[in-house]
Amino acid sequence: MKRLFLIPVVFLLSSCVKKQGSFAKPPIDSFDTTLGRMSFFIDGNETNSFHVSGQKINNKLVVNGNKNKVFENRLVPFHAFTLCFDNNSLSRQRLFKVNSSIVYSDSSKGWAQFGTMADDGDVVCELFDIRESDSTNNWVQIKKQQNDFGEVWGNFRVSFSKVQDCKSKFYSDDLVVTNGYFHVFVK
Amino acid sequence: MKTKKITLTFFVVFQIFYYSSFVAQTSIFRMANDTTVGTMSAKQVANYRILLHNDMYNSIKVIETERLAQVIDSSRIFISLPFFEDTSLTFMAQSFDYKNDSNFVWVGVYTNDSAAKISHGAITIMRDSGIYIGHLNLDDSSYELFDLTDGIQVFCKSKLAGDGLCGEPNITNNNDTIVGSKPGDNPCGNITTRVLVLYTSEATQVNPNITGSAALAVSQLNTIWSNSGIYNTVILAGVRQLSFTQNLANPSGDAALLASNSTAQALRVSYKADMVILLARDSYSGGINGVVNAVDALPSQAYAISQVNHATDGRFTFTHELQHLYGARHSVDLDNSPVNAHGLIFNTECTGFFNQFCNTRRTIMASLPSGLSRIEHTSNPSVNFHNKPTGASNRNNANQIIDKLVYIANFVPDAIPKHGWMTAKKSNCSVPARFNVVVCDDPESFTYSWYKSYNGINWFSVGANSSTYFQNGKAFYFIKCIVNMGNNRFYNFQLFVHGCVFNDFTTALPIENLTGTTAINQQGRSNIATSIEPEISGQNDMFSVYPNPSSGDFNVQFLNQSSKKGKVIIFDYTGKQIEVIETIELKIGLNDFKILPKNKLSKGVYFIRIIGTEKSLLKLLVIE
Repeated sequence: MKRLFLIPVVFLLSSCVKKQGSFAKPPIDSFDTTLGRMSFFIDGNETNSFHVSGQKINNKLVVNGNKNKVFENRLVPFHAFTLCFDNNSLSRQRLFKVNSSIVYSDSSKGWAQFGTMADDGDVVCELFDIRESDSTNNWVQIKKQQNDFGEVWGNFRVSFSKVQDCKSKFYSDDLVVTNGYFHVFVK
Repeated sequence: MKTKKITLTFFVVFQIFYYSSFVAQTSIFRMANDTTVGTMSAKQVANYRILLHNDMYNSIKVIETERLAQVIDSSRIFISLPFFEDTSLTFMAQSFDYKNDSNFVWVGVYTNDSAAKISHGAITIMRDSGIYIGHLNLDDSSYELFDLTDGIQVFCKSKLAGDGLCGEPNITNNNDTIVGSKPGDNPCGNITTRVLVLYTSEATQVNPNITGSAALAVSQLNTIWSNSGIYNTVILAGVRQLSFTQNLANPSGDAALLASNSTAQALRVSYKADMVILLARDSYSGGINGVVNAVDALPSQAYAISQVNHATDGRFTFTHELQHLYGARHSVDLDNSPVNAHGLIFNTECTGFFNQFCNTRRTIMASLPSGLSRIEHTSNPSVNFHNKPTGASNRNNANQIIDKLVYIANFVPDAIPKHGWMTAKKSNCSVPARFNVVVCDDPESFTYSWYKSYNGINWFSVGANSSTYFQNGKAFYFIKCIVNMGNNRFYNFQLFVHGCVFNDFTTALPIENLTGTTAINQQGRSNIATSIEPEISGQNDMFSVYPNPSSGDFNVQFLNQSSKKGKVIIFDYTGKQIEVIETIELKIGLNDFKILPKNKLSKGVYFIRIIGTEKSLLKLLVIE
């Protein structure tokens, strides 16, 4: 009789044991506007859930907008948008295809790049470079700044062409990014 | 423990001196005397045990000084390998980049010596920030030089995949069993892939011993492959610093920027590396420790990034990212294609009333939450770990990697075509003899040049197919075949003889006293995979001269960033100027010129200098 009683007890106890490989509830993919904001339209569809961050490298301001996905209790960037341009000018700056050898140097031209990730976030899926034939429409402009460019507001517009594709793709081959807006705190 | 069976009963003495007319006489090796495992520091013993655990070497010898090597004359060194090969060899300097005793690269090729039973060999000894690393290849044998740190080095004779005669492993992994293919099952032997490790200066802030980490990472990868039934190897092509600024919020952008970085691309060509991986200081947003440009990469996408400390810890990020390039996938993925190439998470050693308490095991490509580690296996249903299969029918990354080995190994062909030799001396042939050279996998991508000779000196072209016939009644008759584009591959020479008697038959692996009567099928195997090491030298690393040795004409290949014109100067060993070829039009990027000296160069050693590029380039040329 005692044995019959023990079986359900053991079962109940064992069901409470946390299996290896299970995790706590993942964090909410929150969109905290106090950290800044980035929004734009892709082919006419608005997207605004991009986490934004900014940093100064040489005389360049690098603005990153990431659309994150919760993976294994972490926020992993699966869509990443990067703008890199002179951080000391309020005039409209033209954006070019990135020169990989002088990415952040003082002499490099402004550029933008957009990519998506696959698998667990460590494999590049799609990659977009600026479509330079649409030159006059590739630009970024700082509209406002304070604290010596420590906090920056700006607009941008970019035309992209896909330079790498993958099976789990999200976007079409040509993208037109319009109504771009960012507000970023620069590290 | 089998490790205890590995006793250091012999001590190899290894010392190389080098001097030339350009570099003052310099001792490039200063190693410890009278070193045994018992006298090593804990750190040295730990590194030594890593090498043992890697199970890649037939034997490991601690190096001592004073006896093994000596200078013969300028640019030649003499090396004795009494405990490995019972032979002595002479190497001719091919390039030497000397900054100081702690930073240099010495590359030499074996010079034929009738007394030694070696057909070809190459040696690369480099020292980076005081850390030694090196390779020595002699025909089918391969050796590696590792630094145990603090002045103690070891010289290891490598096991070759496909070599079923290499003896018992030094150590076994608990209950591991290999059910599937055995080393001898691979008829093509070892297919090697070359990986160039780049690193940022910031990475050295968290891990100063980058060279050691790179060597360890490659060793770990080879161990994981060996554990997983993948009997092929990855070779460390070189370790170089790259100026690269991480954008931690955009790993995809960084991976793409690395792949399109012109310096990284040039280094990849210079080191003849099929793949490139950058060791960087930081992990990316979201705890991403590594990133790769593509699963199942194209040649242009074969670039990866790994956070330096996670490259070789329990995450094995270095191996993980490189395996992506071969098409290996995580536990799950969105497109599920190919369906069989995934990692596996499985349980072992379950206990409890309902077997509910288990050790969860993750293969190399399995998803991995932070704080956990992977086992040194990639998924393969034919290989067990602790009596459990490490894969399943839809979880077989090992199979995916094997499928892509040749594809990846051919990403960067050698600028200098590797070639194999076969010579035979025959007599009394009444019917044609057929000689056949067999290149494993995709033989159509190779070229074959057959030659005959009556004296072993003057050669005549006789064919350009993978097999050829010879009809000649000469008593002494030599043949050879040069196989071009044998990139990182073994190939087999096979000899089919009908109605002939061959008194001698020699390939890279000498086969003596071959006598055939009616039909003989003999084969020798040439390890062309590692017979010629990359030319590694700081200022000259974009400059190569080929073929080298040459019979007279030769090509120079170099990278030019801005100059429009240059000139080539040939001078002999004494410094006497032999010829100047003025006003060569240069193009930006890779230049490749055929040099036709006006006056035939006699046999000997020459130096080729290119003037007009950003730097004056110098290379040694042997005319034979």
